Amino acid sequence: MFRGLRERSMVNSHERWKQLFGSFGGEKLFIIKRRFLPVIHILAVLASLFSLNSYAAPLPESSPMPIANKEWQKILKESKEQTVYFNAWGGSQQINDYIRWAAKQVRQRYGIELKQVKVSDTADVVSRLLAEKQAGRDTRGTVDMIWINGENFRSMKNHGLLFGPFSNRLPNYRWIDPQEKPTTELDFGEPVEGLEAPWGMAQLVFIYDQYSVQEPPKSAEDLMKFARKHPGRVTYPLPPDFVGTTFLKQLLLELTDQDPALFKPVDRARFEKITASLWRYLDELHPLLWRKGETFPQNNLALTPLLDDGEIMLSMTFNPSYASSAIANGELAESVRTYVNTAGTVGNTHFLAIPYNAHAKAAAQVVINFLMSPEAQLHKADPNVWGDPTVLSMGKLNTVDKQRFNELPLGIATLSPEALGKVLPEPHSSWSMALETEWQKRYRQ
Amino acid sequence: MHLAATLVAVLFFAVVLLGTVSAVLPAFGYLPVLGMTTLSFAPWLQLWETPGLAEMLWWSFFSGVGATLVSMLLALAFVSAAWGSRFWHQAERWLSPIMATPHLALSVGLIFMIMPSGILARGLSPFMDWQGPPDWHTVQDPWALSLTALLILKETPFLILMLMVSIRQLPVREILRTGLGLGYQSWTVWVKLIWPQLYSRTRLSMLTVLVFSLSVVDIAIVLGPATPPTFAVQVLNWFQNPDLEFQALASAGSVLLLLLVLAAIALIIVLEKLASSLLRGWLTSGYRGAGGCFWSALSIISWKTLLVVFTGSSIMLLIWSFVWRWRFPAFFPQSWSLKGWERAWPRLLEPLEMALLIGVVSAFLALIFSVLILEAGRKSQTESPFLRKMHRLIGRAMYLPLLLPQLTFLFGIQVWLIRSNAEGHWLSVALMHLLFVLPYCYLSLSGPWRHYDDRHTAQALMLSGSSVRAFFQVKCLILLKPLLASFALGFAVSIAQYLPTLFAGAGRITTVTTETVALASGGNRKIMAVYALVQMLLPMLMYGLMVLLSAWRIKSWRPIRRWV
Repeated sequence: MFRGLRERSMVNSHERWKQLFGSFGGEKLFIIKRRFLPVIHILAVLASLFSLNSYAAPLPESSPMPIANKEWQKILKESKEQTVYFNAWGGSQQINDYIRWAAKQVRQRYGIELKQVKVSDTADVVSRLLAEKQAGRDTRGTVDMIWINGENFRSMKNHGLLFGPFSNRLPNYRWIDPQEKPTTELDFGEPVEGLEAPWGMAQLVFIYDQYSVQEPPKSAEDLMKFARKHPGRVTYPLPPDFVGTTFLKQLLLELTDQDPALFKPVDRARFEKITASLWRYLDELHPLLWRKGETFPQNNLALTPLLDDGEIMLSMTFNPSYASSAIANGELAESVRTYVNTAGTVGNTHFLAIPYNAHAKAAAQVVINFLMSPEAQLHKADPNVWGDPTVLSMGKLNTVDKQRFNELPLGIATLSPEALGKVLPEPHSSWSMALETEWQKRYRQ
Repeated sequence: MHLAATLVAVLFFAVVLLGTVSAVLPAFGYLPVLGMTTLSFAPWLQLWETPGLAEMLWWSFFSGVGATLVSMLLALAFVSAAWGSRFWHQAERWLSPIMATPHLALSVGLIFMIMPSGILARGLSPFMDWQGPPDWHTVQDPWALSLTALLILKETPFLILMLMVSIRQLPVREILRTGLGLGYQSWTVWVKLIWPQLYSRTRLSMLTVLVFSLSVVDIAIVLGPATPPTFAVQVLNWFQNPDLEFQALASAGSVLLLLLVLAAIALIIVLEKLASSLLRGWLTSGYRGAGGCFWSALSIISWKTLLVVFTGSSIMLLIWSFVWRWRFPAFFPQSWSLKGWERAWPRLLEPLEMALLIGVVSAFLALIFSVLILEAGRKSQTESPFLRKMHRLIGRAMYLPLLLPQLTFLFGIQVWLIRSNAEGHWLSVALMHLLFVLPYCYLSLSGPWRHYDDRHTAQALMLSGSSVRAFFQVKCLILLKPLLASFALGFAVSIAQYLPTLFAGAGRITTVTTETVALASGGNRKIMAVYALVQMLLPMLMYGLMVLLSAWRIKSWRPIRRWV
């Protein structure tokens, strides 16, 4: 969820860039601003701006043909003694600890050295890779593996910065069921096409205290009734907070009955018509909110103390195990529980990818395959370790593994995979920015 | 020696001025590194169209000017009421800890007191029919009142200290005796005769308070209005926007901030003029005064309130850092735990080490430079009038970084840091801190240096025959107490720095202060309390250590009391 926060802000900046400089130049100028590279380099970059969109090389259709055993043995052999530089957001101690655990495992099993490069913003890595490509560094790149999704994935894919397709050919891909978890193949509306491997899941869940709320509102319609009954006790995080925007998407998906247009790039001409129901809903809801909807909590974490104080009665998060860990940290009462809407809630998948110029491609594939194994996924899903929901399909696992997942101590407030219900896929990534801008325009000025 | 001192001083001004100029140019569309080379007013037009601009400017102005005027008035009133009473000594005891406490830590403590589920509301709730926490808009209120309150809380003691220093130069006893003899109430004597003189002596300090209040960012993020924020916060948001276009807008904003500061200073000058012409009649009217007791009781009450809020805030920090569960409306925490500290500590270590390193290095450098400049200035007394004049100029200009809004020149300096690839290194951060640490060290040392009796050095020179030994073994030892105090002050100033750390650190250097601001938006009160408490304790511990060092020295592993 912390990661969500960071990525959100970065995605915004990208979108803003796109608005200003057309659909391709964003990342380039992004680098310039961040790094203030020497002028000559900048000129070179500017000159090349216009050729950028041609990098979106035609990609082969996804080929779920598993890798042949012989070929895999060759990769395993090649991977020995290689060092994998894994660029991953490093702001969470729990996540860093999990990566350290994985590093120990792959060292023992495959003789691979896995090193986490802790980054504060994944967009920085994408910018660096673009700079490397620009400088003609097509081999021996500095990044071997990257934790990614959404807008960053789209931009890497469009600029031809990804190695693959590889993920759907890895041995452990057989545990994935795209029917059950469509977001493993569609990343914010962008087809994955084997260019990144699903690693973990996130889903919007609502938090309430069962002492003060007997029947939590499980749809947009019920929420309105609830707010009317308890004026001033409902709020949501201020967009563009990641969870705040996701809440808007959730409402939009419910109110439009998942209009197919939401999964395509925003069509300016039809935007108003599609979103009209959302703004009508919010116009009615806002006067009933905390502080009459004049101010909103700055981010999703700020809702936790408000819920605990009883200032508000509902909170929300993008990590299904967040409430349990908040209880374990003494931030919320033991009586706090979570729920999802009857129609399902918005969810997405986060992925692992290999840059096209990675030095240790073989080892990176071995590591990713390991991270997708039932064992590694089980350890990751343990709330005492990280509590990140698995991408694997329970229906595809063997009985022993399935049993282990079922026996995981979920935490008092965490919903079981079944109870989490249906995952509503994220609208196309261009919708985030469009919704945020319109929201700002309507409710901020 | 003159050369070295001049070099340090010139470098110091050059950096500040260069920073200001570098920030001004992009405001007119000149930013060659990004390929913008034509001068234009486009950024200004964009700035003009910013929604809520007037509101942001007004609330910055209101909180800054309001806090400054109220603090100054409170400080003058307190000094008048406390002079010659036990409160004077009480103030001397309290001022150091309050001054050493960073604004940020205090504001977190204040939040814990006044928020809707804070200790105030908890105390009131048994008498009210509240279903949940009251709908108080006490933190981040749109009228910037909590921000103003915090500024008053923190700046009044500073101004009291400055007044206490300058009051020593006035023959207060004689003035009072004369006034009382003529039948004036003592309060009236203070207001009519002493305040005008005190005011002119502490005016510069008051202006630094004004500039600080108008351009402060860290506490405005935590405590100030959010939508829209105060203007300085908005300018920082523009600077931090990854979007290229916003750089020019941010530069224009920082220039506007400078103009806002100048306008506020101008307003103060106009008010001074107005007061002196309007009040002239009253000053000389021969009115002996009435109700002096009331005013002096009121000043003492506000002083006591200030102390209560300060201690209350500190205690709230201490309590919250050890709380496990404390739900509204319970007045006492329901359960305690060390887990907040356990959880925060491993993540706190690195920012803590960084803050210590940067604080010690910048305070140490500031101390050396201050002594160098002061010694050179002292020497110039006996040399050419040109040198004397120059050193007087240097002394005045030391106020420069305190009289300019930080944002304006820090951004300009950052551009140069990035160009030379020096951003993100702890030494760059320490040097950036030096810009603010040096003035404070210099100002705190200049008094003791002036009062030092040169005959000590003359005698030492005769006995030892070495000017180096005379300086280190005699002068430094005699001035050891102010030197150590100045070091502690410099360290405290460095610990509290937010913007310089943010700019020079490039996100790679984090200190306790930057982490506390980042955490404040999250709302995990236990962790917030731990960070704020650590930020509060660091300078206090340094003060304590320096007090110990000035009284004791170590010889053969045993502490020995100093004789000087």
